[in-house]
Amino acid sequence: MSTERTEWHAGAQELAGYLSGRAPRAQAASVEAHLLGCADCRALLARVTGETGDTAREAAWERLADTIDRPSAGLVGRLSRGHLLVRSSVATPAMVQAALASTVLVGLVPLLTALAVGDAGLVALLVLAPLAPMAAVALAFREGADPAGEISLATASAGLKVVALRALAVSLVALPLAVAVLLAVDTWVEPVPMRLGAAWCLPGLALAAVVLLAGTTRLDPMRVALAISGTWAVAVLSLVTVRRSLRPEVFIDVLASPQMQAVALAVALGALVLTVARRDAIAYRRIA
Amino acid sequence: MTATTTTGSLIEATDLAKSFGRSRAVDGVSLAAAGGVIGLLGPNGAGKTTLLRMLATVLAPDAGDLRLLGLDPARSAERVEIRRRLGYLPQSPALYPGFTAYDLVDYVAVLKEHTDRDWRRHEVRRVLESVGLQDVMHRKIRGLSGGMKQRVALAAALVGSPELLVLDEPANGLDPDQRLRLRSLLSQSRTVLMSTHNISEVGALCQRVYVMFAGRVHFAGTPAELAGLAAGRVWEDERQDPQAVRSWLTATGTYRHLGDPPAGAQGVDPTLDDGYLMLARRAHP
Amino acid sequence: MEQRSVTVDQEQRSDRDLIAEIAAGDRGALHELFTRHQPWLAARVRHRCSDPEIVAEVVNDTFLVVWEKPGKYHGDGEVAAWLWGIAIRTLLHRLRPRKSVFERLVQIRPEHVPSAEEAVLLGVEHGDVGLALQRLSPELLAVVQATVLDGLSTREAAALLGIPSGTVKSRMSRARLELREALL
Repeated sequence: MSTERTEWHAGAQELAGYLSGRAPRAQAASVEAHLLGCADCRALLARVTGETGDTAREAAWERLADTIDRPSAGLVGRLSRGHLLVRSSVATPAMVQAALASTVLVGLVPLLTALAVGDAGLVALLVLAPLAPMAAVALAFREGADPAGEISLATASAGLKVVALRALAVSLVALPLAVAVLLAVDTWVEPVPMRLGAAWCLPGLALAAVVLLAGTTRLDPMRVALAISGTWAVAVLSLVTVRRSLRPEVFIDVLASPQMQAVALAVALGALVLTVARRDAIAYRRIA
Repeated sequence: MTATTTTGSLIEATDLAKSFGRSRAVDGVSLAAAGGVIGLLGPNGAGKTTLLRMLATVLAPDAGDLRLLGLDPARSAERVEIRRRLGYLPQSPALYPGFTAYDLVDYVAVLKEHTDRDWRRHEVRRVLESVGLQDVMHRKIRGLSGGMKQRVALAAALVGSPELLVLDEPANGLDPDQRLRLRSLLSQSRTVLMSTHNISEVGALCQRVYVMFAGRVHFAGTPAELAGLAAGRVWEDERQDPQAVRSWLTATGTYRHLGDPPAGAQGVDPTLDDGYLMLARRAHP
Repeated sequence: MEQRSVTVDQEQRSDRDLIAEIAAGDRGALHELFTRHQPWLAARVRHRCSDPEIVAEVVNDTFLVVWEKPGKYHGDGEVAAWLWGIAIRTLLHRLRPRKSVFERLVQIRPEHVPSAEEAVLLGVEHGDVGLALQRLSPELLAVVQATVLDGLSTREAAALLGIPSGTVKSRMSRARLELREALL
């Protein structure tokens, strides 16, 4: 506090008069103006209010603390105010960011390859699109997906519910982006056959369910996801390369065929049923 | 949290084993605890973390019997009940840096199924105050020091006043002042199992201690009994003694020796360090 | 018992330091600032509004603003003055909520440049000025208090006192004249 320009300070009497409302308006105004600049007199005023003042102040602090002591604001915080399960599934923005990044990648690679090599853009899309849901599931298993890390594994809520909800939350966020990517490729690169637009869903779901099932075993879901990615890429590329030229229509026909879709559906359902049956293994991990 | 079981032992482990590939991290460990603070002492790589993970129901043992709070963690319904009454602090906890300390402890409280928001607010505040973080509870974790981060994780383990606490190196990163506080914090739970590679912590905090080397328990008893292993085998001298098994220079300038004392040697009372060294010597001759 | 991990005596932290710490998320700093300023702030608001519930709300909301937007304090002038600015405007909006969007769009407050009389009033708290103020009629005093001492703009003072802006201006001119005469 800088040096006072006058030597006048509010004495205890004047402060008491001010507090009780008995002081004339001019003096009250004078006291108020002085208090704005004098920490000592403010402290004196606090003392003059005595015990009742202290109690009132503590109660007021409790009221303020109750307002500020809550999970921080922002989208995560606001969503988290709700039900326990919503909370645990959207809790890590980092994970959502990772999933979004991978979805963007799924979109960018076809676009870029198409710009570079034309036909290959569609092939790239064929390879990558069904892998995106799988990425969401694999990410949901990672320890980094939980903001409390290993601590959460020892809580009552640990288990399939949390992992599945996390994967679902990520997928729901990534889904509009995926659709936008398909539309972008369709508009600016080359027309995407409608059949392809729909055909990749079930295979994508099947692959994701397999990774989810892997989480109930000793295998690391991330490694399983990577293995599947590699195998899938190789399979697609070999089917598509007919006599040294790329013929994506061949694969699109295979993928969109009723038999293939039925197989994908069966795999998806089977894997999901098995996962639910083995869900305890997620809660009591067999890997460190 | 009310204890619905009144079984004598809160932890009963018999011949627990866990291997990763070919290495046996835990090789036939038996342990029993019925209250108080139990220390798990041993060098890095002794299997302490793996054992604690099993006792915290985070990892399933390959073999052996385990009962926690009288319940069997291999059964899912009982495991959930154990977890409701358990608090776990892992080694190097990975906390999301974008959360505030309050966010994180609140989140763990939610995972522990505490759905009443008002109760949670009071409990989160209480537990953060108990670890001395009341001033920084609304700061993001990335802005906290290492010791503070450790205390956030500790608070998360303590939230809800669990009956059973499993702590992996809880004093890691804490300054001496906070270590002193740890003692009163630990007294709140009925049973605490904590690991450390720091012998002085055992003396300061634990009523019982298990010493582990290479996946096995080599000692179970009180700290006094551990020190007693070196009874009559410690002496001090002005100079070095090549006959001693171990010798070192103490802070007072004399040499302290461990082994078979020569005749007329100045025997001294053994400390925990002495007992531990004696044990280590026997385990790895 | 609270553990103090800082070695600096709490009392020595200036209000400015506290604001900086609040900006860094220090809840303890907010508590300290609250302890120092809640008493006089509550008293001053009570002198403008007799409803205790509103007073409590205004004080609560003021410190909430401090917690959520500490950056609004630009380091100029006393922290106490900044706190009062928030409090009086919170009170104003509580008592006279702004009705229309148009009114809100038109709420452009120019920088308040204190006149010579106002500078004097702000600087000298007692003695001559007190006496001079006493001579003013209640309506003039109310206007002086609202604009000069509470720092409200003409429009805000008009809203608080429930009179047209023109009346505020004319009363301020009369008050200035009378004060000038009294101080000379």
